[in-house]
Amino acid sequence: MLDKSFISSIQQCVGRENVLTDKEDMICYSYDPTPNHQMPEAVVIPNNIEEISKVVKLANKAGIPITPRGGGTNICGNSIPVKGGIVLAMHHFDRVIEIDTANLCAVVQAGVITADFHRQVEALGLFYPPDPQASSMSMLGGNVATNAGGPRGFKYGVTRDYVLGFKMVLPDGRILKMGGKTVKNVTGYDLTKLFVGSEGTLGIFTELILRIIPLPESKRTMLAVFDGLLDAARTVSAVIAAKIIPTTLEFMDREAMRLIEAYVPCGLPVDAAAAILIEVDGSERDVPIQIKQVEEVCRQFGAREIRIATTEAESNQIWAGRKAAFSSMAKSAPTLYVEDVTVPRSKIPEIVKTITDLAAKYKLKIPILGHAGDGNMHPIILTDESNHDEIKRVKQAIDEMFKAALELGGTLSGEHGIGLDKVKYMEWELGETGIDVMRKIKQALDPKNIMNSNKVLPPEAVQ
Amino acid sequence: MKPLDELTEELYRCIRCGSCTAVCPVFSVEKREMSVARGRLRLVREYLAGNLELTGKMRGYLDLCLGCRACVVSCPPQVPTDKIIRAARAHFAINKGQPLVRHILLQNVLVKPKRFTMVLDSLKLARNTGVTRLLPKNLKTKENILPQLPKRTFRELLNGLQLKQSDKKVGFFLSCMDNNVYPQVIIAAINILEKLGYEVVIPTKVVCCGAAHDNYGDLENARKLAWQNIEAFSDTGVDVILTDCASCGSTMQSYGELFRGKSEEAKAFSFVSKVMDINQFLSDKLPSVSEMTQTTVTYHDPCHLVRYQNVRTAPRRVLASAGVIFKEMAEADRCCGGGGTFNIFHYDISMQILDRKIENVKQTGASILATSCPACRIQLEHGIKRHGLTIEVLHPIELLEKSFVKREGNPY
Repeated sequence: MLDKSFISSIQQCVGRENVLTDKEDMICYSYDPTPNHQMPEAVVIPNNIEEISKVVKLANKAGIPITPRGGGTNICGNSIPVKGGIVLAMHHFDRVIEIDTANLCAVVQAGVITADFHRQVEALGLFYPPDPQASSMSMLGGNVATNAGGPRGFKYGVTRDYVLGFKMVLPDGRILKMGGKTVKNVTGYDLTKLFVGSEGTLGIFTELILRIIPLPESKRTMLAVFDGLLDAARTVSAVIAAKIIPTTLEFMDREAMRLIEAYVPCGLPVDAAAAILIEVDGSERDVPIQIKQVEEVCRQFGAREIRIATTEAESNQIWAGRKAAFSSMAKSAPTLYVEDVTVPRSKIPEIVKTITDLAAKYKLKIPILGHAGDGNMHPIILTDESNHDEIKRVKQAIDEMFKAALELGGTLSGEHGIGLDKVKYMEWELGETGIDVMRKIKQALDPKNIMNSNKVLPPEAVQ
Repeated sequence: MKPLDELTEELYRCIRCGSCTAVCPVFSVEKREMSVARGRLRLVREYLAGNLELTGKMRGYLDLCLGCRACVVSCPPQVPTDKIIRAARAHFAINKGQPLVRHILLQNVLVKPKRFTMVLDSLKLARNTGVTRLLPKNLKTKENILPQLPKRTFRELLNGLQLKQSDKKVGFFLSCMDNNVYPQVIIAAINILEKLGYEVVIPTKVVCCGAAHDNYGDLENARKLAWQNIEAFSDTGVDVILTDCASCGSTMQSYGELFRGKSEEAKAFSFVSKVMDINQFLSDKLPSVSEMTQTTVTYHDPCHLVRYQNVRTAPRRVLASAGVIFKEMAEADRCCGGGGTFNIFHYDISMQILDRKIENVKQTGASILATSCPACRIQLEHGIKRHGLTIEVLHPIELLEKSFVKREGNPY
């Protein structure tokens, strides 16, 4: 329990109105989109980096756990205050400080909503490519902390590729500034890359310097339909081998298309094995050539049908299904486990087959979406958390899925992160040495283990 | 209307994805999880699971919902958050009663049209005598929300009106707000309908539609009022019951739900099938217009029309028939923050939501802002005053009426 004097010292740092302790309030900060939940003992909503620094210093001294919270949209349990203590909510950090068109970068506070930032830079003819599914409600700070990806990752990279620098509060309360407005920076260790994706376990981001690029002039969208999974997967590899880098290569399997069609009929071929939504972008001159090349490859590799959008309305029509995918699944089951196993692109047919087999073996519904360009699959397990027997089978299926992904030379998580939910698999991928190096980093920066404890690394590894 | 404990399944469908945080007007101001659907749903869930009492604080958070339905529309699993919140408020009302001010409003003021008019008459008197100037500042600001009131209500004007007779009859529901605050909208409606050859049947026995009662969980009075309205139209023989108020329209369309499982159910549903917004009724009966005025108009979608009744294009068609230059504003269907009495009980939050709306209106450069709900209109007029602007707020049918007059001289 947090004692009264501790609470009042926190209140002095951030103002009384920004410290919540009532049960009703704790309930509202006990969850995230995963089934995990735990009430914190206090919610602190700071206004600036100095306040965070003071709060963290006090918490560190008293050994109180802190869980940073952005938009609360992660899907691996990152925002759950598993050890109680303080939830530190970043809503007041909502300012875009500067969009520097000369240096093609922007300085933003960590609580800016990703989609708001997209709108602001795009209004200036600029482009910030990372576009996680939750971008209309996620915060840039959370995107950086989880190194968020999205459909455009294959061509444009992930959040990490756009972080030039940042300000953060370390677990001992000191303020760390890294990087700056230059693209080149080799001064010392590359700590930027270390902290990006640290999931709040190494500190709290407050300000970010993000790289932006010119907005492509034009784009074209198409849908390629396949009767065989293998054909679909081979096509993806062939497109890339033909030296075309589409912005988007979104894979949907039959089960996924059926759910989408049942939810919003948008003309997806529900009898096909798979479809791939392909988008290319670039200059007005290049885009028609690219789409033609992609079309040829698709035909060559057995696409039974190809739809190329010629108008914006047609493009929206093609996207409508993919955009409704998550909603259609959420509508069809009370609990979703959204996974993001990622394998080398050439192994997509194997992982899709494994997942389909697991669904049959454990009697589960697992539609599959995926960013095929980077082998990043999204099997979505449709279940009901109140059905304990089924949840047991879900967990077994997930275990086997991860094992299979690793055997195929893949990884547990392509873009969601480890959080709470994947901690137990960490050693499978990293081995003892990998865990040990990560543990040493964590212990060096957070010897009292107060910062987002029990996430990323197994608790016993950190103790 | 389902009681709270029967909504558990729907409640558990919330996957806490946070989509509601992107669209909730209250959350955009408050920025706290208790002020958005997923937080409120979680509070109700914990209460039903026995982990939380019915506390005043919880009630406060539930009351801080505008009922705009933006979250319902954007919700991936389509959790009916508006229904769950109304059911939770009803649950509070049954177990804890209503807070005093609200009790007086629901139980005493709004149940009889005359009483509501009486309250407004006293306000008029107080304004004329300058008494309102003596109000403490916070009450004075709230009193300011209500615009200047007309000399006479529509009910008072009705006696002097010669309503035309015809074989084609349509019913018209008198909304309290338009009756007391904007009688000219009802006059415009009658003029247009009569011009199109309809006889307008206006039962005066109608009472408040019960929107506030429904909203705050006073289901007993909501049913009483609903029944009086159903009865008031029962021997008129009309097939259509029109309203110029989005809130009355959506409330009356929920009468079926209100009586579900009761003996009045069938009659209530038959009533519901006749209720229609006047924009929707007119939209396919109007001539296309070639003559344009130089007036630029923008339109604000009332939540109770666009998301409760799914009426989006009809008012825009009416405006097109009025021959004005139409300029769509950004976020036209985002709530204005009025929320019936939300602006009175939560003035500061309401004003921040309103500021964003007025900014969007301003961007269009329109000199007239049209909207189809008197509650929105009161709020929008207040916002325009607050920002020192001179934009006029009108119902689309007032603009339509003006264009009729312009084209053909005064036909009435």
